[in-house]
Order: sequence, then structure tokens, then C-alpha cells
Amino acid sequence: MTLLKAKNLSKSYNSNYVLKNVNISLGKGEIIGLAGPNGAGKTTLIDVLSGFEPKDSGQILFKEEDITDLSQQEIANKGLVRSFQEKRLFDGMSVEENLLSGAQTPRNETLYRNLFNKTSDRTIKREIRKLTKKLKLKEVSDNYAGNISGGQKRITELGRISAFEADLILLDEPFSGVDPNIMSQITKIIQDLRDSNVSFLIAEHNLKLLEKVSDSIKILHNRNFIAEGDLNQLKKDRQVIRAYLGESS
Amino acid sequence: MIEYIIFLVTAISIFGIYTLSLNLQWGEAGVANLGPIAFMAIGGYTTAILSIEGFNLYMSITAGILASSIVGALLGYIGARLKDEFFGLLTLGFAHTLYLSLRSQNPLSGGASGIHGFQRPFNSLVQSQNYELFFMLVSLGVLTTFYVFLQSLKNKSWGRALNCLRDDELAAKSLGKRVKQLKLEVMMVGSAISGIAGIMLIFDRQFISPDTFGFELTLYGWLAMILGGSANNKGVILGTVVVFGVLFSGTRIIMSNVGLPSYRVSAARLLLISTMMIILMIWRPQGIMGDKEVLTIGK
Repeated sequence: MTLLKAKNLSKSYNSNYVLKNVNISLGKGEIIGLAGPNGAGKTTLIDVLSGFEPKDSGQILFKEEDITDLSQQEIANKGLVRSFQEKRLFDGMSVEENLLSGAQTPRNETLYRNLFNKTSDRTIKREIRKLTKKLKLKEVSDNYAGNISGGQKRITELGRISAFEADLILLDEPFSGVDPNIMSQITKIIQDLRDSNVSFLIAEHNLKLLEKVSDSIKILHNRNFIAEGDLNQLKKDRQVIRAYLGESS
Repeated sequence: MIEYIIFLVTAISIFGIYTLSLNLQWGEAGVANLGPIAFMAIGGYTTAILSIEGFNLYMSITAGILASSIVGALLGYIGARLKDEFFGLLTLGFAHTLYLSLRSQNPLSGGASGIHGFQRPFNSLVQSQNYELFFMLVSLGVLTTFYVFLQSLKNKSWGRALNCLRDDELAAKSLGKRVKQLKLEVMMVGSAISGIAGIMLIFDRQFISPDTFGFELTLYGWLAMILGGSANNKGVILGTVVVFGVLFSGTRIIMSNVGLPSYRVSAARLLLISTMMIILMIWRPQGIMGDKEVLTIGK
């Protein structure tokens, strides 16, 4: 079943096109890797799909519903969430509260329900404690998120997204700036979520890691995709070598 | 002496309620309301005007709370569509416009000379010589109630959603937080609480004029919150005790006793406040009880 279908997406800044007539579709439980040189438009594609940047033209269907003109919040609440290239945690909240904030639904956050005690956090708090243990964040769960290590921040960010119970997660360079241990932890989180039928679009420069977690890799260059396949296929593609991998690869 | 203590505790309790409301908006949600005093004024004036016009006192109080809350929600609705700095300017401009409107000669607000002669609550039940003590206890009770209420909200999902908004609005949006609605809600609740503080202030003073809600009270409120520690309700109350107790009331008495003329007392008080703010920014930018990780000045 197709989960996401984007047709003819175009996006320009000051009349310079970053994306032109881009088409992409993703099935349920599918993981697509997104690679390409710096400035190719990977982050812009994530921004446009998640509603963080308005597109010039095109249509986005998610779960067969047109989400083209919805706001970021509305898109997220439909089940499409994203991470950012830089780590964006709620630094003034504890690690556990960060994870809780991902698990809270807008319905539980209404003033009315909170004022009149019509909502209880007990179940999600129990689940979050389990998640904290699973993510090896138990020791820092009460620490301010702003005070933990870069790797722990990345794990917390992913944990927060996984607590959200999304159907599609767009990750922007999740492996950047973390050690191999954290990389394998991130890989495990992605694989576990995929086992529960969550789909991913992952923008990343580390092609080996991308190959490990994704079903196929798309190369974005010059405003559109220039190739798609597994790493071996891409390594033989002249266009990909010229635009991205370099002749020495 | 007893009378002075009663006066001081009552004033601190009332301004404690006011700074708690400001802390809900800024400390918990990061919403920079630079005109919180306007909502105290709306609560106070609505209650005083309706009461003078012959409406039932308790209905007038309810109307005062509702009026501040509705105006707060309205500004929250507009402000949620503006950038943070413009929202600050909007509230600042609103407070000043309201102040000037109240000062202008009009039959409702009484212009610069204000309104007096309105009833005080439970006047018939409490003997007049005990009324100040009674009102001090009521003020303390209301302050405690709001402290408990706001602490409980802090630990609920609404409170956490506000913290998300404060720490990173973009990340909050990516997690589907209803940013605009949360801003509206926090302005509505905060303004209602400020309105209650304003109503209590006019009952304490038995008089209301635009200068009861002068702009310096906005500065004092912000100073008390930052001094005590934003996002920390206990710290905010401590900040209120220091600023409103020691500076606002204490220095007035002390300096009067050393024989300073009133215009110098007022100037000396402002000088003390500014010095205190500078020392605070150097020594402990997060405030006395605040955490460095939350809303630290210059972080």
C-alpha cells in the first residue's frame, strides 16, 4: 500500500529552483535513503514534505489524503513527523519529559481536559519509562536534555519521534556527528520501528549506513533524482560518480 | 507595626499572584507579555465600575475576571500569528494605550482621579477593625491556591506542551503541538489570574486610578520573576518577596524614616532595582532559584 505519494514537487528560492517536478512514493514499512551532494535539496525535500516550507507547485498525498496545504502541526498529527539536521531537543526539560512530549497526543494536551482532570499520564509515563530503559537513557532520564552528550541527544530525539507513533518518519542526517556505538543504536531503533510497519525517508551522506537500513537509495542532484538502486548499482552509475561519489570511489 | 506587616503581607500576596501569572506565560510557555499590568487593570476597573453602577459585587468580580481573560485570549489569538518580538510590542502598546485611555477624562473610569467608594467583599460579615487581617488571610489563601494550581498544571501534559513551546517552537510544531491554540490558552489563563490580582489590589487599596496600574509594575513583575528564577514558581514568589517587599514597600518606609523627600525615595528605589538587575545578570543570570538550562538571560 502506498503511504506517501508526492507528484511534481517544485520549490525555488529567489527564482532558483532547488527541486523541479520531483516525484516520490513510499510504501508502508518501506525505507528509502536519500543521498546527494551538499545543496542538492535533500533538506528542502524534507521541509516541503513535512510542511515546513511552502512548495511552488505539486501535490502530496499521505495515506491517500491530500496534505499539500496543511500546516506542519496538522501534517504531524496525520502521522508524518520529521527530525532536523541539528539536534532540536527541549533543553529546559528532562530527557524523560522530552520523550513524554513525543508520546502526548493533542487531545491530551487541551486545557479543558487538563483543568478538569479528564486525562491521565499514567499509562504513557509507564511506557516512556520502558522506552528510556530500552534506549539506554535510564541514567540520564532526569537530566536536562541540554546537558547530555551529543549522541544521547540524538537518541533522545529519535526516541521522542518513536514515542509519537508516526507512520512515516523523515530523518535529516541522523548519523552525523555520532560515534559508531550510537550509530548502531540508531540503526537498531530504525529497524525496530520498521518491524512495526513504520516507513522512513532518510537523508544521509554515509552510504554504507544508508545501505544497511534502507530498501533503496535515491540520489538527488540538479533539482531531481538522477538514480535509484542499491549501493553497488549506484557505485557503477556514471552520473552518480560524476555528481556525488567522485572518480576515486 | 502589626498594621505594617498586614499591609506588607497582603501586598506581597497580591503581587505574588500577579508574578505567578506572568511566570505561567513567560516561564512556562515563553510567551513574552510585556503588558501584564493591563490585565490587572482590566480586572480591577471592570469590577469597580460595575460595582459602582449598582451591580452585585460578586457578579462584578466574575465579570472582572472574565473581561481580563477574554481580552487576554483576544491578544493571544492575534499574538499567536506574530513573531515573538512583535507580540511583546503588541502587549506593551496595548498596556500603554489602555493606561492613556483610562487617564483621559471619561465618566466610566473617572480619568486620572479614578474611582473610590466601591464595596469590599464580605464587608458585612467581618468587623471593620478586623477587615485588613481578614483580607490578608484571603490574599495568602488565594496565593497558595494559585501556587498549588499552577504547580499541578506544570506536571500535566498541558504544562509540558507549554514547555515545548518555550524551548523550541519549531520542534514543537514538528511534533504536532497546537502552537497557536496553546499561546491563546496561556494568555487566557494568565490574564484571568492577573485580573484576579488586580481585583484584589483595588479591594486592598479601596481606590482605583490609572496610576494604581502604572508601567513600573510591569517592570517590577518581570524583575521579580527573573530575580527569583523563571519557570520556578517557588523562586517567583521569593522574587516577589524581595522586589515588592524589600524594595516596593520596605524601602519606602526605611527611606521615609531617614528623612528623604518622596521624589527622592522613588528615584532611589528605581536606582536600587536597576543595580540589583545588573548584579543579578552578572552573578546569577538564571535567578536565585532558577535553573541555568531554563530561560537564562544571555544564554
